[in-house]
Amino acid sequence: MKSERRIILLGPQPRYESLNLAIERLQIKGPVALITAGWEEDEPEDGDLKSSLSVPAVNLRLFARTEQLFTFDRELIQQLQNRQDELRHLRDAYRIRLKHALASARDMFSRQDPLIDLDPERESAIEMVRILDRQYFLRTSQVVHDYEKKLQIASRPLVIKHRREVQKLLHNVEAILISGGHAAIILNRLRFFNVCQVKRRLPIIAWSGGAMALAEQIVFFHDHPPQGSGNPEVLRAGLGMVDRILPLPDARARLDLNNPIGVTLFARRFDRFNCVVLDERSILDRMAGHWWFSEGTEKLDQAGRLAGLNT
Amino acid sequence: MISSVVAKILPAGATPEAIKHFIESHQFPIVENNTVTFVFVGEAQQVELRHWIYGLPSSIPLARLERTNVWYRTVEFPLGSRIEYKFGVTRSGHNQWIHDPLNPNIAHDPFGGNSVVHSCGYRIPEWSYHNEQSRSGHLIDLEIPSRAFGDARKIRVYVPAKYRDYRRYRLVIVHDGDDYLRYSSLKNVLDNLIHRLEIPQLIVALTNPGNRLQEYADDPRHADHLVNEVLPTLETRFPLITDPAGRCLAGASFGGVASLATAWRYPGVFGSLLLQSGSFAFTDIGDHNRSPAFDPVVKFMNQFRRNPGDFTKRIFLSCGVYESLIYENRSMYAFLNQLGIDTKFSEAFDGHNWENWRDRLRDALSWLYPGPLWVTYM
Repeated sequence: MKSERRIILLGPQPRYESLNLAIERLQIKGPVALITAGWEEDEPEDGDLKSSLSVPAVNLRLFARTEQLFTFDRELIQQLQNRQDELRHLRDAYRIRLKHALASARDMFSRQDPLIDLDPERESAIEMVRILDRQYFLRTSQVVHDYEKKLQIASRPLVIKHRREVQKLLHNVEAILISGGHAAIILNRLRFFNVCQVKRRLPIIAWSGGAMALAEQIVFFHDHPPQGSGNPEVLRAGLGMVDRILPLPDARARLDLNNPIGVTLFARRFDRFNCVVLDERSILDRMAGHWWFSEGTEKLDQAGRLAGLNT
Repeated sequence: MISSVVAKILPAGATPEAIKHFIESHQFPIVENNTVTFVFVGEAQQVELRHWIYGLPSSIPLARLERTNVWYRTVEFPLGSRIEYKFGVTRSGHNQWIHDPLNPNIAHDPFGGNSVVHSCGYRIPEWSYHNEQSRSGHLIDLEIPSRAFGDARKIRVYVPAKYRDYRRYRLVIVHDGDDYLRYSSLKNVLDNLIHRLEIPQLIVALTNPGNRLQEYADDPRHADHLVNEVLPTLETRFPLITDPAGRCLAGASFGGVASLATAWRYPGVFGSLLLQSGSFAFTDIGDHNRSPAFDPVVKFMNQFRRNPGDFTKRIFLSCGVYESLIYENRSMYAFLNQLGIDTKFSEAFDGHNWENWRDRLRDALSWLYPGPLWVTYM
């Protein structure tokens, strides 16, 4: 384990029920810090969430803080836009290659041959996809790293001011709650304000997009988007605070789990991880280096179905 | 004629009890794979199927089952078809068009609606129904004084449920807005697609014409009204993205012509267009053979095709395969592609009607204005 920090991962929270169960598991009375940056402009609209919680909460307003930073630090926003352009171009190239590699893998998994065993061909086809994912992961990580170095974020006066304010707020809380939303924005804001490194032992509860941001890799997925191919794709590195887990929030709605080839491909492509289906009732609790799972929590199995996480 | 399920089940001279049992034990029309059997029961001299499928005879007679008052006809349709129809029933020498009495499904439109049947493979999209989970947007009534028309025009504006005045919104201006609301379930569609994150939160202005055939057929007053009266009013009243990329004009049939003509008269104002079954009649030589209402349309389309200019960036085009306009729209697609406009074309086994236009809205809106679905995990 990279860290012994207590981390609880949850799925979507339309009623905040498992969120409160998770808070109970921490046995805290609060207050807690709230990060709703993934809601973007709706960040301040946390009234329902706060009133549903069993403990008091203070919103760190990370989205608003970055908006303010971008208003005053024009060089910073310009450089970040340049970074986004580079990442977008890399993504476009990745998508082109991914489309062909995945089509080839799907073809191999759909095909039966009466004379020969196609398993080596299937493994080879899926390995091509893994290589592509790895290359893209490394390329995007390099771009992010280069810009972080160039931007010297930690020494920019406004960033220092906001980081201090965030640290001060975190000083008085017993846990950090990270909501779902736009996964890339959550990741970027957490990195920007160094939230998860500020107080190392503070427990974290993160749901949906928030859970994705804590993982080693962020993978976007949806089998039936109204536009686009629907090919699952790596975004880039997450914060790497939980290893061996690839959180798949709302996977029952977003993935066709009755398609064994699709499930097999997903599970084998990301076989370094447990591809965990996070639904409204799922709770994954890492404490003292071990994972506890709520009953019924499932993962994508390489055999093309859902399987209990402890199997 | 394709052998009919009716002739297989009911014998000639079937008793009233046998006919009653047959009616009670089936849903009508009878849909089997790629065939639809239309059935009418009643005294008549003649019964015919009246439909709006270009390519088939507009009137298809039903056969009478000998020594009964049962009339039937089996017609082959491609899978996934949606067919609107009426029966023409002749009694005492008088022909009357009626809804199918055995079919409760009616597609409504401004002219009163038609019976509708779906062949295998067609489903009404679930995103067109009211969904309790989807937060409901609001409709705001506005009245805009019009110098162009010398009167005042009422429009409705859809604002999304999570509308905030500190945000910036994309805009869609829709022709025949009330008809889109009433017959294409536009409000349900917007609520659901926004809820599903398939489109961003949008402001949608629902406009309505005065004299539709005149104003929508490249009337310069209409373009002036939209660009110089409606748009500024909306930009003052709502926090809109004041950039062509954030403005879309939409319309169906003559509304498609009005959208195209307005965008063409004011190049660069609207970054995208949604054109459904546009009445894009044109001639390469000679006269057109449509009704006189098309005269100004053909004149405009011929001008447009000669001198399109750089008027917009993206166009979603759709048309039913069962419309006579399919040829003009296919031609339009090729033409727009040649111009280098980013164009998407969608065809469906359907006719010139509001439910066809409803069914294409998800594909259209999510392509023109993609939502944050892919990156958002709530």
